[in-house]
Amino acid sequence: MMTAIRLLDESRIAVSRDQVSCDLEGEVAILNLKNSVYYGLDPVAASVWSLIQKPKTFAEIRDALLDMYEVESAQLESDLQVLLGQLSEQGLIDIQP
Amino acid sequence: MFEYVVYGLAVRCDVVLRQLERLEVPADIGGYPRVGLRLKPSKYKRVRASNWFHVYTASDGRPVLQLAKVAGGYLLSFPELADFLVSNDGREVTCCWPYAHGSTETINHLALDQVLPCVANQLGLLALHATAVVAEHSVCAFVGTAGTGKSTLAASFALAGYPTFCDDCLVVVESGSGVLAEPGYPGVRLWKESAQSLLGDRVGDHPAVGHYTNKRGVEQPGEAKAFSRAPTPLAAIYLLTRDVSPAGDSASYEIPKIEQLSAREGFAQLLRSTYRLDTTDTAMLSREFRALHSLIGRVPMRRLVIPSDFDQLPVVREIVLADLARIGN
Repeated sequence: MMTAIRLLDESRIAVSRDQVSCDLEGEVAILNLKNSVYYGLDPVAASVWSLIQKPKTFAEIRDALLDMYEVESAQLESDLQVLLGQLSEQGLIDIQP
Repeated sequence: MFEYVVYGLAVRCDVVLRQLERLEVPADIGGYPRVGLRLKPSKYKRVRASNWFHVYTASDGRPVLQLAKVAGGYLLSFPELADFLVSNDGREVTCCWPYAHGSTETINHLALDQVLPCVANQLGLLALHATAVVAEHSVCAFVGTAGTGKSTLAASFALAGYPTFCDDCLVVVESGSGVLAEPGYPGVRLWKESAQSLLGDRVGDHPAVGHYTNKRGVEQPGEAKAFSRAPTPLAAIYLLTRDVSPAGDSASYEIPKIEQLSAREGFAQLLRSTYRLDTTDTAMLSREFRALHSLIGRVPMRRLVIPSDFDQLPVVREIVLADLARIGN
């Protein structure tokens, strides 16, 4: 059963070393090398993936996305929590609380 | 021993493989990796395994190919047909057990059409489950799920004078100027219905490729030009899709057409269209992932919607040739 992760502003997030990914015209494909499962990210999730190629805090990611998209801060934060939770659950990112 | 080059491999075999052109010995095999292929009956020694790490199944769930790691390499078992051993480095392939009804033709066919493509993967090559023809001095490849008509379309091209390049295994290699395709062997394998539709009464001239299947081996149909035995530039990849009406039937209610394919769709399809031996080998999967990404960036990929109607094949050929001409320009 998935344990919900509540990311704090200072939580540090980076892509896992056990994956390879590629850009597909704004979308992203990822291969998880731990379980050989392939994933696809839509353009919005792909922009998050691009941001965390170098480790960033949750606040840095959120603020960068707020600059990129016209979206309510609360909505974006909620969606970002869900996406990063899913990526973490699948072993695609590392999080330092 | 008999020497051949197929799928970018230099194969030294202890039996004659009638589908392949035998090279003079000592053969000039260039930089192709060497593979020893032993199929002679006197060498059979059964290897048992139960720890399958991957099982390919037919549409009815029946296993058609099971893979296990065994001492020194891999066991590829085609239930009730034949078992093959592939060494860890992919350099040695041995038929280790023909099941009771296994025929020589069946064993040779499995070795050539199923085992060697996996060996190509083990040796670091990108081997796609694709059928291809040569048109305007370049290779045009067709991918798609089994039964969509890749071989039938290729045979149709061959009957119109465009030779086949490979059937079911297309090895692609990056070169400085583009992407090269390595040839398979002349001809295609067709279901009896397709062969009858394309060849009429001549279908009887073409034997089944194995004792267990109705597929016919049709060597270069028609009056196509000579088979290309050299690496040839890959011009385009078409994902064959059957035209299915909203009601769910496959009536030919629409004309064939070519549609754009997103990079994501193309990449996903190519991931589904690769031959792999050791699916647990993350280094191989990682290498393949990067190679496919590079391929999709260098070779145009389209969706080719085709109706389930043999009479439409000339139209399909025309739109493909027109598209290839646009790509060439």
